[in-house]
Amino acid sequence: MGMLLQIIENWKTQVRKGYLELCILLLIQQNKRIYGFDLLDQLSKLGLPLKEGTLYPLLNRMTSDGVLSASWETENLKGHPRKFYSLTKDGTRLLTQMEDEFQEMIKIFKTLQK
Amino acid sequence: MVKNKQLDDYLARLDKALGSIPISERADIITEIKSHILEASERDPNQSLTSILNSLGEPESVANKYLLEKGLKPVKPSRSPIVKWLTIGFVSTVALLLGFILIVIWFFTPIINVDEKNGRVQIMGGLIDINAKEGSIDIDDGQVKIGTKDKARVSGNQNLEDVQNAQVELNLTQGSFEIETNSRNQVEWECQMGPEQQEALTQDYDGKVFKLNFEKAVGVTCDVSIPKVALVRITGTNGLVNISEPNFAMDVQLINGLVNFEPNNKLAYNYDTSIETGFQDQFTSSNEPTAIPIKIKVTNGSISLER
Repeated sequence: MGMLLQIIENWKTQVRKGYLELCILLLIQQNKRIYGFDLLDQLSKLGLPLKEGTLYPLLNRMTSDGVLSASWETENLKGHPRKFYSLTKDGTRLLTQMEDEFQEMIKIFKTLQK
Repeated sequence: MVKNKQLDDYLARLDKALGSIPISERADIITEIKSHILEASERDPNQSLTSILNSLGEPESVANKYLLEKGLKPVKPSRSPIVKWLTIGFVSTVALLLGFILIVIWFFTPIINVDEKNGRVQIMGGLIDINAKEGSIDIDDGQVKIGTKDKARVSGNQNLEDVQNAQVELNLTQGSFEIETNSRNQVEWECQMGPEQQEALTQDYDGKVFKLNFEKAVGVTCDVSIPKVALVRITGTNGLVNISEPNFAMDVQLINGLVNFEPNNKLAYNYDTSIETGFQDQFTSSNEPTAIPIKIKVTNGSISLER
């Protein structure tokens, strides 16, 4: 039983990887602008817990890629600065393509299930 | 505040582990992580900094994730300073050892390569290349072949008074010489030399010492035949000298040279041979009082005994 659990967990990690990026982009799109901590919160509530040590590097990379644009904002004089993310034009195009691809995958999946 | 030091330490480690990322980007990353930590602390004041940091993970593994996302090589987490310093110590020692070995090799590598079988001496890795078989001496700026091209046979002789007390001196810069004996009362020479060399050859005789100076006649091949004089002195820079059954005392000094000595089996000799870099054969001196003194000194090259 223990080995099966391991196999499942491995598979989940693999599948989630691409899927998570899709979900993150969708969330950012929904929120228009969102900062890291908030994003972690929402992902957790959705049932997609992501380790913060994983999310921040991912956001950093997507910003470098030009999928996201980031800006720093300080809520008030006392507060600490927060880095807000939003989708770029390219990011929006990418998201659309990812959504289409994912729809395709679901279609095939549903066909296989019959 | 203890809390802040713990935070500062964490961020410092993170900064270090992000190493290869440019400084402005590193600052950005650190600010964001710090912001996250502060936010987590604000949202749940009951949560300790330690548990927040534990949730983030070791700064090195956080940094590695950034590096991996960028396609850079992740940094190995340093276990402890001791391991790091042991490694440094080990690597330095190996480097020192290698350096030492290299110096030793360099120091002991002969500047001269002597190949006796083929009659070849190479100096300074071939900068000066003396080839006895071919009769050539190559010097870095060009080959000076002691050959027979463009050369004519030039002979000369000099009658000597009081032969048995006479001295003969040969000076050469570069050349190949065959020294023989004769029973006539004169020094005879026959050389292959071009017109410039002929002009450059000088002689001087004061009744006692006969000097044959090839110093300016560079690159000649000569046969010199000498009667039974008291002493024959040969001094030169680069030379191939073959001495054949001499019945006179000799003092040969060459800087770069190959000296081949063929003793007369009926005569006894007392040898004083020395070579700085190169090879020499074993010369066995005779104890007889009539033994002819033969002194041969070569700085770089070889002294060989022909039987």
